[in-house]
Amino acid sequence: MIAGGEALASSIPLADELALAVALWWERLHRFDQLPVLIAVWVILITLGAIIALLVSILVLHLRNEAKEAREERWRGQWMLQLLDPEGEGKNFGIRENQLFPFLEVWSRLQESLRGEFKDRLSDLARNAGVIEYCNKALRKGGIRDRIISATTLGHLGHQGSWGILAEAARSKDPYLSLSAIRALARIDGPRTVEVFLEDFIVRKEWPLPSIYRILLEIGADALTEPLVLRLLNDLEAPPLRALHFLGAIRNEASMVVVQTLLHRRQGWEQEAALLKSVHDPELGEFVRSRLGQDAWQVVVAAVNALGRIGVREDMPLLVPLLAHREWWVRYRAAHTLVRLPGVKPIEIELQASRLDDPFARDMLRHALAARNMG
Amino acid sequence: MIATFFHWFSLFIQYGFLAYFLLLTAGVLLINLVAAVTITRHLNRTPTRNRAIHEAFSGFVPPISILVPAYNEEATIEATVRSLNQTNYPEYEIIVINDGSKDGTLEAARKAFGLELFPEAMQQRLSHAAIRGIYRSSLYPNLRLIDKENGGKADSLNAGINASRYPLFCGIDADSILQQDSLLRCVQPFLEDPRTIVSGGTIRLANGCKVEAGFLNEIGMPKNPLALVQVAEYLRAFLFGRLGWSPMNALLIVSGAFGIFHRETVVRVGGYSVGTIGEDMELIVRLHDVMIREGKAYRIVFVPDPICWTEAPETLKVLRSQRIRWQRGLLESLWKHRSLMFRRGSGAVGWLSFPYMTLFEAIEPLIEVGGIVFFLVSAWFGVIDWSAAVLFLVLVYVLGFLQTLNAVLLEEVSYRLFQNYRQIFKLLFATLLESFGYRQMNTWWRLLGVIQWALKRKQEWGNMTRKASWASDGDVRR
Repeated sequence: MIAGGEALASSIPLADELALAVALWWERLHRFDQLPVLIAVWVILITLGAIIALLVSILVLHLRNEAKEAREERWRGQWMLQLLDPEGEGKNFGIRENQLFPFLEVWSRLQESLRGEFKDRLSDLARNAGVIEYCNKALRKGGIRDRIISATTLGHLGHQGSWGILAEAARSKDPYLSLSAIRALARIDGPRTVEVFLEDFIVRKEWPLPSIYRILLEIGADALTEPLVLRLLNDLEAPPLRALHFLGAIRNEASMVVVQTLLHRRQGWEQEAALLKSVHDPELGEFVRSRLGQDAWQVVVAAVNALGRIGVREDMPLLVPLLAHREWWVRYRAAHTLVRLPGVKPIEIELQASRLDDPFARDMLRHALAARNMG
Repeated sequence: MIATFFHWFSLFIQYGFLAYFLLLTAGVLLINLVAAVTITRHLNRTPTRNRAIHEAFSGFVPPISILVPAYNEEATIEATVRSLNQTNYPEYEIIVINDGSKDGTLEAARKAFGLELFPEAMQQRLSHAAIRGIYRSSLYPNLRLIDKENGGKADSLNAGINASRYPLFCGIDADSILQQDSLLRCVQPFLEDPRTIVSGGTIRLANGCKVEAGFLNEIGMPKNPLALVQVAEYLRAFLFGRLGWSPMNALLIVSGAFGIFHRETVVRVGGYSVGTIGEDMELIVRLHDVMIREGKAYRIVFVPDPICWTEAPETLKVLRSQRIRWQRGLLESLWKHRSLMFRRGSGAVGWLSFPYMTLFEAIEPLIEVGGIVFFLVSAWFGVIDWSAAVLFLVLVYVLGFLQTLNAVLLEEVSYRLFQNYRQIFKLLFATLLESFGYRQMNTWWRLLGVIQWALKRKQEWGNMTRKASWASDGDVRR
C-alpha cells in the first residue's frame, strides 16, 4: 500500500515534467512560426492516431477471427463424428443458417473422399439438415462466395428443384459463378443443360474452352451428339470455331460425318486445324494426307497429328519431307508420328535418318527415335 | 542577402520534403486500398479451403514447362525436382538447366533421376551459351536436364525456353518451395482471360517455416531478427505494394522466383536479357513496352495467394549485396525503357506505375538520405531549429511505420498466415523494427545501388549464401 502510494507520488512530478517539456517544445515550435514545421507536427500527430487505430483494429480483428475459428473448429469436430457415424440415421441432424458454410466445408471434403453408399448417405444427411433450402436462399441473396459454394453444393446433391435458380445463376456475368452453376446443372441434368445452354457454350468467350470441354465430357456423347451435330449442320457456311472444338468430346460416327462434311468445304485455317484434331476415322485418311502441303503450319501439324492416329506404314514417304519443314513444330510432330507409325521398325528409321541430307531433319528423327526407345 | 537566400532555400526544401513523403504515403495507402479490394474479390471467388471451387478450373488446364535454372545446387537439386514432381498439375515437364555449375549438380541429378544423354533437337529461337549435352530421365519421362556453359540465370532461362514444348512456361528458382496447387492457382488468370501473358505468384519467406519433402508443412516466424523484419517488409513492399498495380494492368515486377509466362510472347520480345542485373523486372517492363507499342491487348497479372516460399538472407553481408543488386536492377530496367514514361497510349503503366516506381522507389534513397543530411546540416548551422530537424526525421519514419502496419492489417483481413498471438506480436514487433533501424540501413544500401548504377560499376552476381534452416541438407549455395 505504502509502496503503491510512493509510486503514485513519484509519478505525478514525472508526468508534470513531461507535460511541461512537451508544452515548451510546442511553444518553441510555434515561436519559429514556420508553416512546414507546423504541418509536420500535425501530420505526425494524425499518423500516430492512425497507428493506434490500426494497432487496435489488428488486435480486435485477430481476437474476432480467433474466436470464430475456434467455434467453427468445434462444430467441425462434432459434424465429422455425426457424418461418419454408421449407426446414426441422420433424421434429426440439423444445422443453423449461420453454420451452413463451415458445414459445407466439412461435407464437401467428405464428399470427395467417400464412395458409393457412404456418399449417398452423406447427401441424405445434407438434405435432412436443410442444406438445400439454405443454399437456394444463399444463391438468391448471398455474396459471390456464398453463391458459388451454394451452386456447387446443389450440383453435388443433384437437386432437380434448384434447376431454375441455378439456370439464373448460369446467366450471371461473373464467370466463376456462371461456370459453377453450369457445372451444377450438368450434374443435375446433363442432356437438358446441353439443350438449354449449347449456344452459351459457343458464344460465351469468358467461359474457358477447356472447362466447357470438361463439362461436355462429363455430360457424355449420348446427350451431346444430336444437338451439337444439328447446330453445326445448320451453320455449314460459317461454323463457330468453339463448336468445332467440342466435336472432340464426342468422337463417334455422327461427329465424323460432320467433320467430313465441313472438311470438304472451304474453311479458314483455324477451323481446319480444329476439325483435324477431331479426326479418328481412317476413312478420312486421304483428305488428311492432302492437308500436309498446306501453307498454314498449324494445319500441317494438326494433319500430322491426325496421321498419328489413323496413319499407316505407307504414310512414311509423306512424312519424311516434313522433317525438313521450316517450322520446328512440324518437324517435331512429323518425326514423332513417323517413329510411331504401325509396322515401322527402328532399323528402318535409322536407315532413313542416315539417308537424310538436312541436318535438322536428321537430328529431329534421331531425337524422336531415342524418345520412342526410352518410352 | 545570403541569409534570406538560405531562409527561402530551407523553406523550399522543407516543403518539398514534406510534399514528397506525404505523396509517397498517400500513394502507398491508395495502392493498398486497391490491393484490399482486389484481394477481397479474389478471396470471394476462390475460397482457399473449399476445393470444390477449384474443380471448375482444374481440368484441361494448358500444359506447362517448368524451368529450373541451377548453379551449384548439388545439395538441393534432387529435393527440388522431387518436390516439383509432386505438384497436382495435370500436365507438365520439368527442364533443369545446369548453368556450368562448378560443383556436382549434374552428377547428383544424373544419379538421382537416371539421366541419360539424349539426342535432343532443340528450337533455336533465343540465343544462349553453348550446350554441352541434353539429358533425359529414364525414371521420369517428363524430366530433362540441359547441361550448358555458364551464362547466368537469364541465359539459362533462354535455353530452357528453347527446349520447352508447352505453350506456358514457369520459371522458378532452384530453392523455391512450392505448394502442390501452386501451379494450378497461378495458371488461373490464363484461363480467365486469354489476353493474359504473365501471371506472377506471391513470394513469402520460408525462414522459420517447416518444410518436408520440398513442401511447406507449417508456417512459422523466423528467429533471426534480420529475417523477421523482412517478413514485414515483404508484406508491405512485395505483396500489397504490387497487388495494387495488378487490376490496373500496370505491374512492373514479377519475381523471378515464381511466375508463369506465355512462351510465344516472351520469345517474340526476345526472351530474357542476358547481362541485365534484374532480368525478371526487365522482361516485364519490355513486355509492356512492346505490347503497348504494337497496340496489342494483354494482361500481366499478380496472384495474391501465398504460393511460393523462399529463404531470405540472414546475414548483413548477403542482404546488403542483394539490396544493392535489386536497386541497380530496378534503375537499369527503368532507364532502359524510359521512353515508356508518359508515352501517349501507355495507359496506367506509362502514366502511373512507371513514374511512381521512378519517383518513389528508384530515386527515393537519394531524397531520403539527401533530406536527412540537409536537415542535420541546417540544424548544425542554425538555419533551422534542432527540434524541427528531428521532427522531419520522425515524420518520415512514422509515415513508413504506418505503411507497414497497414500491410499487416491487410494480411490479417485476408490470408492470416500467422495465426497465434505470439506470431502476431512478433509480426508487430517486426513492423516496428522494420521502420526504425532496418529501413534506414536498407535505404543506405539502396543509395549505394543508385551510386553504383550511376557510375556504371560492373558487378558480378554475388554468391547468395542460403542457410536452408528449414531443410535437412545443410548449407546451400547459389
